Amino acid sequence: MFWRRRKRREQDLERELRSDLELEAEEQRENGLSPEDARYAAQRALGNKALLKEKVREMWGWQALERVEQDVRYALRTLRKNPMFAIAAILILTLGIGANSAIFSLANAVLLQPLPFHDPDRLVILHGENRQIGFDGPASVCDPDFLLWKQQTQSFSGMAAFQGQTANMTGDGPPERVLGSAVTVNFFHLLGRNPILGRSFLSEDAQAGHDNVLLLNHRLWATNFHADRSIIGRSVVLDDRVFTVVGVMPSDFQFPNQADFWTPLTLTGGCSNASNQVIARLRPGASLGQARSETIVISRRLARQRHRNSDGWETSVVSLQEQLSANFRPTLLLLLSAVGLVLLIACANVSNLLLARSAARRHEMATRRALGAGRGRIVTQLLTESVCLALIAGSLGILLSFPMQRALASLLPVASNQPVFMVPAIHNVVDGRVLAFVFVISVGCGIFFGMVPALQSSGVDPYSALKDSRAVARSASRLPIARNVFIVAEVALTLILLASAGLLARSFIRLRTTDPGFQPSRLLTATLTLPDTRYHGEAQRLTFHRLLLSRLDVAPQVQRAGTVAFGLPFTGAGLRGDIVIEGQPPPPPELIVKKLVVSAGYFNVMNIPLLKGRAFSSHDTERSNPAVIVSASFARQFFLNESPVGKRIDPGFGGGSKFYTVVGIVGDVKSPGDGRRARLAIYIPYSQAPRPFLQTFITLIVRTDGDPMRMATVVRHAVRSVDPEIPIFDVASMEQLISRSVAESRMNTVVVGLFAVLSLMLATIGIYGVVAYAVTQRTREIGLRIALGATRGQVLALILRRGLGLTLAGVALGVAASLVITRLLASRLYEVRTTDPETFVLVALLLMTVSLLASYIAARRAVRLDPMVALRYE
Amino acid sequence: MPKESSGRIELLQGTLDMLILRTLLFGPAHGHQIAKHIQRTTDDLLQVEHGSLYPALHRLERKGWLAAKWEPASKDQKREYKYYRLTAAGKKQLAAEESKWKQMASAIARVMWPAEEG
Repeated sequence: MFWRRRKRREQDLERELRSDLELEAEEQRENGLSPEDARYAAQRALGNKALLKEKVREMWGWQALERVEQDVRYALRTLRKNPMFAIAAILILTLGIGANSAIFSLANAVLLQPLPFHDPDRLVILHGENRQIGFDGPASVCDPDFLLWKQQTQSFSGMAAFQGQTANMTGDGPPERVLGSAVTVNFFHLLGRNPILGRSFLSEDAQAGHDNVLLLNHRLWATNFHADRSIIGRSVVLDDRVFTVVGVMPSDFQFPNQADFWTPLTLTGGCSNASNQVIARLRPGASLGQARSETIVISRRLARQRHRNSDGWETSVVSLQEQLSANFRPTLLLLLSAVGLVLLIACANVSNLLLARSAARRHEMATRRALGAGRGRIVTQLLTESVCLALIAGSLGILLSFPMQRALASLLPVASNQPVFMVPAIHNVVDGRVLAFVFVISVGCGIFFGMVPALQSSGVDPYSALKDSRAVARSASRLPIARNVFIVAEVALTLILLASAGLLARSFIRLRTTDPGFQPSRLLTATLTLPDTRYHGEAQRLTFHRLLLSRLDVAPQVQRAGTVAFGLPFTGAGLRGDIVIEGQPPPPPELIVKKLVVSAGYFNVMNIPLLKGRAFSSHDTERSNPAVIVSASFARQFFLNESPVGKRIDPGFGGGSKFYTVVGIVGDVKSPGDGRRARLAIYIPYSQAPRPFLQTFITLIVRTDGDPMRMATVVRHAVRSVDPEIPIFDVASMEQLISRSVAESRMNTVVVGLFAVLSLMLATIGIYGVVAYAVTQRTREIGLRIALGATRGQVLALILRRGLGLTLAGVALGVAASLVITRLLASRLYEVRTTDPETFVLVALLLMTVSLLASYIAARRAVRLDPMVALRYE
Repeated sequence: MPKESSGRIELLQGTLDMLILRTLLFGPAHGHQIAKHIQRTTDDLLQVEHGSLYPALHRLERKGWLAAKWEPASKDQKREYKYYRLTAAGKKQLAAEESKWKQMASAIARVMWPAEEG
């Protein structure tokens, strides 16, 4: 429709101009000119017909659209005519855009996908932060405080509490460990989700005695109950308590923490146990900022009322999405920046290719200008060409991003190890947002890398360029200024990436090779919990513990077995906090002391050396004098040169103070995942654990003869032989735990490393291109030098100097920039400084060697020149 | 040849539109006629470039001030020309531009020859 109308107009205009021309010619004939002269005169009067038509078309208003079409068609034709250039440029850009699209898809899945709740943007989490002890996460609130929060805040239309729980589910099959959450009855209403079967919680479910009801998640319902639709009303046994199933939630609802079930939370506790997390929905019209300032005020008031020490604590709210992605955000930011640099380098490279080509197209541009094309018109046309290139590369890049995303997904850290909430499921999706992103960066790149070459080309002076073809070659030597700038930038950016990759790699190696302070090979770990219902007495727990260890000790292929609670190395787990050392002021809050509850043989099983005093033994019982063992760092930190043996410590687990006498010092356990300070540790024997929860949560550690994972069944049998209703979970070898703890570091290293290699390749190609171009430009000069007696070595040095000079400038710039930029890596690095001189020297040398090699290959042609041929070279 | 006369005046920006509209007040005309009319009326003082005339005609047409139609010429019925004709909106526009022009001319005159005014 549109095109037909345009065509008619086009014919119309042609006819109109022709009739004018005829009339003019007739008139001129009447003035006495010969028919031929009259025609020429008429044409002169009309002027540049193509330009005139162009101007008229502009008046029609669809000029822009039509020009784009024309330019695109022309651009594609030009690219087809020059396939080598097109392929090289598209390849380079495809790599750059593909990598960006892959990383963006990941970011999109983690940061931008809406959560499966009603109006998720209005949901917030009560958040606590304490800079002194480095805590930044969801606030823990006790029951009475939650009720006060709910009463006093004005910014929220609803507020719910929840706490994670785990349970041993027993029934027809073998016992199973399930994760769940106890939630206030308004929880589902607040999130705006309903069960697909049965009902949600009602307010009477929260009353004591009526709270034995249960909602199942879709996964548990499908796997353990065969998606039986008559499940409602059936009983499920969790930790020996009988619950009635009242509903099943939809499959995309697993909040919080990939919960398998939900029970009603009864808020009857006191303030000694702050274990609720709080989620709230902003009232319509209330802003996050308002809610934040309101919560800060209320939290201060609450702290005063409760006479609590609130030093350094700040309670406020953050959006749910922000909280959920908090763990992952720094990694994503790192990857996004790295991949952005790769794209910049790719753009600089293609810019250089275009500049090289623009020398060859000088004649074409000069002709176009001579025929009346304005500079702006030429720039537009050249930019259309580069945008076309980028868009082709963008479409290929999306295809390339699929395998990249798969590779990336395999490198992702294990989600189950995230202690806080759920990590949103990472779907590798290319949705509208990813497509829009790729489109925008493609067009952006096209304009970005095309702009300088386009301005250069269009600035050609048609008169001199057309008059003298040699002038083309001569004045073209002006172009390398821009090319050199691009090369220096490329080298500098590459150095930043190489330095980052180098630092990450060093940090990764450090993580893997640091002596953990114990022997991690052939260790199996597994965890179990003792339900309160059957193990509420200390005697029962101690009996279970003793029986289990004695069974394991005699099991085949088991060397030794021990237990630890809340402090398994490489898992980030640990209890820390307020210890009191007799006769000393309380330790500063930024010193974190890890508190572990271990079996007597723990140090023996782990091969942690005893440095002084004695280890625990079977003589340390619930009735003997309380004993504690401290780590070497702890002894140094708090007792300096004095011996701590005989001193007394209150480990401060709450529930009244109780002093333990130091009986020994053991070597430090370094578990990088815990941070550097975690080497301060104290160990308490299982038999003397001051609180029941320290005895009901048990991680088994078993030193085996062979492959530890093969021993999982042996351990399971041993546990079952003591109590058939207790499942074990989180079964993993120590090596696996170590590997998991460095997963993020591994991913950062591999991905940034690959990006660095990619950009090194691109920079090498760029340097080669510039040097090779210089050789071509200076062919005559080189020939002359050789004819006049210059040695091959001198010529080679002449050429190499150019490549090396550019590289050196780039390296210097890159090092300066890196020293600033790598600071952002600080939190990702383990025992490596961001200015690590060895890494910087190494990557600078690498970059220079590679660029020298590239220059050399390009320069060889110059050395081999036959002076006779070179001098005639035009 | 008259075309090479040195006394030509560059058209002021925007005045071509007004001249075209005014010319068409006499009745429909095609592009060539309009150009010739302006030239003749001003004794060749104002030269209308084709490069400006046709874009202007198409612009005025797009704005709805002119309407165009292919019609046979009055003397030679075999040839068709694209005749432009003032629309009602065009007439209004002409009046507006004319009064604007008059205002400006008198304003300029007051600056240039203040004595004559007084």
